[in-house]
Amino acid sequence: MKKSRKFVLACGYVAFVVLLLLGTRCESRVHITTPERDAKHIAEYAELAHSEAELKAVEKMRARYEQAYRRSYGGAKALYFRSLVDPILDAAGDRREAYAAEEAYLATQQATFNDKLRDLDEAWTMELGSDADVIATIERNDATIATKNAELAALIAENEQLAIDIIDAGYPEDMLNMIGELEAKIEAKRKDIATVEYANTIVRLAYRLQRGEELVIAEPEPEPEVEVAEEVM
Amino acid sequence: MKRVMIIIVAAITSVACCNRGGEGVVINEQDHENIAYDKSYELAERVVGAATYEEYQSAAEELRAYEEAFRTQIGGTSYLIFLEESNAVLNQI
Repeated sequence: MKKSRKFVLACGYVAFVVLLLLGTRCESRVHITTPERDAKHIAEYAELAHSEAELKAVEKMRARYEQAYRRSYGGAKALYFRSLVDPILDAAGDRREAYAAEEAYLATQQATFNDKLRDLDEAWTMELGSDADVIATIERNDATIATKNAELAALIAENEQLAIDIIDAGYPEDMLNMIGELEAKIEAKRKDIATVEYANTIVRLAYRLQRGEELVIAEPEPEPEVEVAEEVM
Repeated sequence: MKRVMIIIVAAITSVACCNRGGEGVVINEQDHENIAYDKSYELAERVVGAATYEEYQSAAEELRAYEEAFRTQIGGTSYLIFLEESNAVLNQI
């Protein structure tokens, strides 16, 4: 009875050790061979990678191999492996930057395409009213833009003065927070102005598309100068 | 039995019609670059030169359909050509 209990315990220990070893092996998920062969394997993957996501996956693979070398053979072999793989990944990194630039350019073109068609949709479907209504809308928007531009100029002047005060006061935190808030206000004001300017652009475009001609707003006639009779001494 | 057959035939017909409508524009894979140049210019010109809302709507719909077709079926350089050429014309307005 005692012998069989010992046997069961021994089997339990062996099973535990085997599971532990298998667990470590599964965790690393890479089977290293030699640094040269593994570097070649990664180079093949790097050659096939044609997107940023794929290149990131290759970089992760390199990190896992390096970790496996570090665990199995120590730092020297891991460094040797890295010296073989790094030039390959540097080249892949250059390619990734080129892909990112291409993707950004494509996104800009897509945005321009969609924005332009959205503007045209809006202009074609806009209710214009009479010429007088259109002119009144544009003049009202112009007045709003002028007011907001004056407010923007005041905010910019305040910001510049505050920047000088901050330097004089030795960069105190509360003043730095104030300048941050002021810059946010300036940004918001610029967006406000851009929104009204966009509204005017769409009204003018709508007029051109729907009426087939450019909207011409007559300049207000200058008020006649009052002649002051020269005093005869 | 007859009723079941009628229902099945009606279902098949409606599915076929739906599929046909969903196919939309199909780009010839042998000549997609030339199509990108030609169609973008032709359709964007129609959009810009439309004299009525109906003309504009029809041209814009077709332009969007081609954009989607190039994006989903071809991609790459030809899709970029399509966008660049369309934008060059649309920006004139």
